[in-house]
Amino acid sequence: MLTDTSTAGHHLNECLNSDGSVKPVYRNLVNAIDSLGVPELQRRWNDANHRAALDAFTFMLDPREFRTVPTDWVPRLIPEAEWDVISRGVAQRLKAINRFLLDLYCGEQEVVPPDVMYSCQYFNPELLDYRPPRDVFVHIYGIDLVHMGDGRYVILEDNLRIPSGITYQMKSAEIGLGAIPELAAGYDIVPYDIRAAYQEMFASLCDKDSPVCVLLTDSKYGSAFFEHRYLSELFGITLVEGSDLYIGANGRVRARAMGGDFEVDLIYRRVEDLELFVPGLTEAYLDHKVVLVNAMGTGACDDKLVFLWVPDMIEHYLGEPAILDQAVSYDLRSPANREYVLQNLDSLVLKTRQGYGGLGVFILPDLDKGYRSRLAQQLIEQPQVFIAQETLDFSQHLVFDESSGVFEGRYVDLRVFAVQNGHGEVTVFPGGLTRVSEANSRVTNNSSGGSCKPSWVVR
Amino acid sequence: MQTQLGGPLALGSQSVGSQSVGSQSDQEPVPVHFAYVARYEYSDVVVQNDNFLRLSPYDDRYQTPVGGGSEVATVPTGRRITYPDRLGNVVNRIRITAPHRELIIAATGRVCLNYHAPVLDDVPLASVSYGLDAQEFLTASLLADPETVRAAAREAIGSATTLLETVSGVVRWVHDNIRYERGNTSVNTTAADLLESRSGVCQDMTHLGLAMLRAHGVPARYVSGLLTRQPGETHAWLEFLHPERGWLPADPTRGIMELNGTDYLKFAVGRDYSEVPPVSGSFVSKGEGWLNFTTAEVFFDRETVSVDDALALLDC
Repeated sequence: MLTDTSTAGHHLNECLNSDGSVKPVYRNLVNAIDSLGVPELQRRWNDANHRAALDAFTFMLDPREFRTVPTDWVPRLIPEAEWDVISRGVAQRLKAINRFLLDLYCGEQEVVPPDVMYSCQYFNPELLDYRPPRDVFVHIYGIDLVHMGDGRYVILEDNLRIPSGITYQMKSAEIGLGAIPELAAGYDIVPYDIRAAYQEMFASLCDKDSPVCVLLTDSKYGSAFFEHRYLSELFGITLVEGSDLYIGANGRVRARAMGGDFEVDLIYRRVEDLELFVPGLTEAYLDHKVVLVNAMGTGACDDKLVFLWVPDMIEHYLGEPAILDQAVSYDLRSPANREYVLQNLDSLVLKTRQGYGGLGVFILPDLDKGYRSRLAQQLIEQPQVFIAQETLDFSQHLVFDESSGVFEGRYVDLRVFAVQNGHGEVTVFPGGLTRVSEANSRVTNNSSGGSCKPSWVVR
Repeated sequence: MQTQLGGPLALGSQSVGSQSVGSQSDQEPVPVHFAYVARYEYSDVVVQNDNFLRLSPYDDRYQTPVGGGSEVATVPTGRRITYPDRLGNVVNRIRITAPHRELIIAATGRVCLNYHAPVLDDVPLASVSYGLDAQEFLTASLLADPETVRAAAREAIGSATTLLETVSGVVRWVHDNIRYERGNTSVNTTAADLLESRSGVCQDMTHLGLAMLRAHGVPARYVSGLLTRQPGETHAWLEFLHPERGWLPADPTRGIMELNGTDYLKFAVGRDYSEVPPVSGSFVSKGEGWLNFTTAEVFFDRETVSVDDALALLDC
């Protein structure tokens, strides 16, 4: 059934060899689907969608519309040996970026040109000379990768301010397995424990066994509110909005609560402009009255121009070459690069330095000529706003169309999450979140309408 | 989050051809102090104000910053970092988080202005080729796009074929054809807009000059600074690239080339105004903000000038 779908025969389909035969690691999965049959798979699909709706497994693009995350319940499989490289590469990158941020704010950094660093929107001069608890800036790290089809993964960008999506990794796998347990037959799925890793991280930063932590959400109308609610329940911490927090007479942060207000040791913040949500918070933070996860100022390395220097950070701070490659990128402040980019517009991606969630990403080969030349004009006028990246012919995966009962090929990326605790130990959660593009698109961000897919690391 | 841009507003009055005595390359450098102050007001409390200040003297053969060059301060105070950008401009980024309804920015500095002999070695434009580094000053920037001014650029130079003739043609044409008038243009006015309206201030005339020079294949960049003998407001002029002599200044607003005297004090260079405003940044507030007052002063005879002297200009 899987193999006779011609639409799925893309040469970089992760499940298939170039001749259309199923790759060894996917054989059990394909057999399981075949023995279920399409009508049964459609029934189970419906069960899974129903479960997702009941659990309010949402990613809200419009607060007026209840919308579950579109999910393809057939998992992506990552062999443990491939995962091992990803995992080491992610941990290495996280450590180098953290060391760099420490030098940027508390010492002298020589890796990135000063005008790039200090003109960055998210560089915050207020934080100079402030050392965060245990020297940890990056507690939670999200990194976007694509698979080049031969076990080689390439980095597209880093997410360091408020990386979002770890719940979608957990929950899509949980719901998928619950509805279609037959798919796991013959696989040993590598487990992970997000709760334990986060709680250890919280405790190690506060020097307390059970610190008082809260999760600060932007609001229940925010797109990732499901994640905020789910994680606060998972970790057993209070979910608060900005107006629930204030600074007490002793300078410490307090939270309003029914049974009486309480002092807060740590804020797992899911908002960027903290001072706007909680006036006085910056001062409390700089006075070491509260711990913030992630630390303030990490956004300086979220900048897509700074991205270009991360391999240099790895060599400079860790004295070793980068384990994972990153997409070839161009600094458009240089006239030579600008010239090159203008001559190769049809094969490049333009990104704005400060964009996120798929906003400000322009995949030039996929755009019409008029739009492309308007962008070229903007690039000439404001080169400092953009970077350019080579487009990559990355992998597709099989996606089930539940109404027609057919599998088709769609582009997928992989967002991997890691946590660093106060002892400097890094945990990378196996599998990550696979995001699936819409048909005929290569943009996979959920904010841009993409769907997700469970990913298992299998032994 | 809102954007704030300040100055250069205008040049006080036009004094055509007020070029000082000229080519005495053997003259002693002239040490001067400058002071700049600006006051912004807001209709509601501002909780965060993050500004980039380009108010420090540029270091080149025309002028030498003395004793660290400059001092900048804000009221209320904020956290500051100082860095050079890729074109050699000194940038002070100051982020203020104390709540305020009024922001004062003050800058002072000391600089030696050097006399410079005029460059007379002209070259045929057809024979000049510029390196890759110059390319960004030949193509369109946000406010100065050569494509939009080609016809006027041709008219401006007549039959000129050499570099200096071309520059001088453009500078004179802008001076003769554009009326100096305040209030008709804004920080977003482009060279093409000015060609249409035919009236504007120094920064607009500079943009038109830049676009026209670029149309002729002459790399040209925007300069922001002060007129030392007519301070009061910041001024704008341009620099064009001479293949052997490097960047040379010219002032379309006053209609002159050969700014070899001590009339000009330079803060920053960029492709156009949008890259090097004296003050740029953003603030967070429910209300709106506006520039309430700004002035600048240059002192030829003072031993010291402090930030307090700059603040005192507010009371003038």
